[in-house]
Amino acid sequence: MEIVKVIGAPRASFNKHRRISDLVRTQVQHFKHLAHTMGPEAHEEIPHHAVLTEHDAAVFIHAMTGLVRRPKGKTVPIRKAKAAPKETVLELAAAAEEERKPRRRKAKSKAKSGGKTQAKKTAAKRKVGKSAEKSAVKKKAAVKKTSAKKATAKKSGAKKKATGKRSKR
Amino acid sequence: MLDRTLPGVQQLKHLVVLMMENRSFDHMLGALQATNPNIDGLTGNESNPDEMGNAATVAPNAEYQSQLDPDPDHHFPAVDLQIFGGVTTAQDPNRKANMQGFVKSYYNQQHNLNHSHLIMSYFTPDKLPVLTTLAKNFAVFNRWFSSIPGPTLCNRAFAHYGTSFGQVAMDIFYWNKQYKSIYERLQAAGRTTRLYYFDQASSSLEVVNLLQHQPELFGSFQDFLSDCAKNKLPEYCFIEPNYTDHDSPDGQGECIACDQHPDHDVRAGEQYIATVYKAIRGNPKLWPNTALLIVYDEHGGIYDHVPPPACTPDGFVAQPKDTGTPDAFRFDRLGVRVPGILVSPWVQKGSVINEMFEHACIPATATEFFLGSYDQRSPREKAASTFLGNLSLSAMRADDDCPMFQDED
Repeated sequence: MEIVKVIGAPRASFNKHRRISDLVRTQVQHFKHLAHTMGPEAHEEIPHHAVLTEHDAAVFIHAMTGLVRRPKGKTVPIRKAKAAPKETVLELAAAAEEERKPRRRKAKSKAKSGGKTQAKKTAAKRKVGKSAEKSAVKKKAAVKKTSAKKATAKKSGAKKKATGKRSKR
Repeated sequence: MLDRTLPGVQQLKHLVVLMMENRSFDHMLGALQATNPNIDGLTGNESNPDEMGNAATVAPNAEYQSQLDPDPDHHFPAVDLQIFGGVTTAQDPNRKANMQGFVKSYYNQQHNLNHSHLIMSYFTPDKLPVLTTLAKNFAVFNRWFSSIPGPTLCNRAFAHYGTSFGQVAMDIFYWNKQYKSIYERLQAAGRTTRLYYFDQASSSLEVVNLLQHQPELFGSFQDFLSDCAKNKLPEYCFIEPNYTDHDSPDGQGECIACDQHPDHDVRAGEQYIATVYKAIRGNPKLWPNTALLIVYDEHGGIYDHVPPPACTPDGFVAQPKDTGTPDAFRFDRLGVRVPGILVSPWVQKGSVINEMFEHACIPATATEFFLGSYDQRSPREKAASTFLGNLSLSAMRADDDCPMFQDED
């Protein structure tokens, strides 16, 4: 019997930060189309990160395929079961952002602003039912936060330089 | 008409289709002509004019990765240029396919003369031990063409439905139109069928149609391997490769893309093909009664020398706004040739099949074998050839006459 050796791909071939092809972009678009047809319950579980790399796409597609394949009529128990994967998905997305940061500063700033928006939304939710006085207090706190952020930005600039040095080594 | 008296056909219980991504016949198998003149591959003299008018000749310098980057254009207008060399119907209403526009098309993407020549590259057989071993040991299709001179999704639609419902591009919404998918047909007849995607993070390309409406049809590649091992393989199944490099969803390592779509490493696809083969070949209860078709969805913009032939129109017309060219497309000619290999112990070693095939032949073959007469199909599928007649040996080949693969240390 002829035994043929299979040549494997080296580890260096793996690049989850590769930009997605037209094919995967279309696949993601089709999943986004499906997302619009899903009920509000599902919307909470649909990832909303920017899909630029193959890793981004995989995280999004993983979550969406799970939603599409979820058996009908078992909404409540499956939602509970989905809580853990959701965290995993978010962790993966966060990890992807972290790994992208040194490469794309613009993307990082976008991600940061996205983070701010999310923080504002969260803050807005918390505001519900509270008095105008409390919101005025928050405004003052926000001013303090802004100055604190400026200080953080300076620190992160220093971190970037440090990261660059690490990767060079 | 399938000859059901053939012993191989009488034994047959499972048909497995593995569809890879974006490589042309000449690019992957063209070099085999040197050892088997029956294979319509490359002589080494084929060429295309480059942007300066000089001949760019085919070269055995294909690399596994990092060579065809950016991804060669394979949308309808680019493929039109590749096939007709830049001659439009306005210039010549009787233009003929000459396969002289591949280098020009690739040049259009980067305006880099040297880089544009790489579209003429092809692999030597030693670099693709899996695909070429299967080609040499079983049956090669000399004339398997993609169904449309266009991109992935419309071509894959032909493998599932026998038509793309008039689409020549990537946005495909055709659920519940007049022709049922092969899976729906088989299910309705009480037959078993499944689509296996690689994993949940790679998923299927049949998103808005089959995955949305029939999620129960799907399984993962692990399910495929398990079904093979447990003798639970469905009668008809279709396997999709991994389309992205990604972390394993279970946190256990990395999953490398194995679809062979540029710029993914071709070796990962070789491993994937070998794994599918081994899962079938390694099970003595499966190997005698399973036929495996390995085929590519389209050529991915990479050179092939055989002009695509005319075909039976499927009744649809894509308008110029959809084709991106000045002309409407009547689905009356095929796309560029792709690699196709039929694997079975009932196939004569070293067979070369010269009959014309395209992706509509996949549902046509499955329908003919599992369902017999079935009228509600596209004219294109009804006219399509079927390939199980190539399981023509009177006795099954001996175990040691069929190759086996082993991962490199």
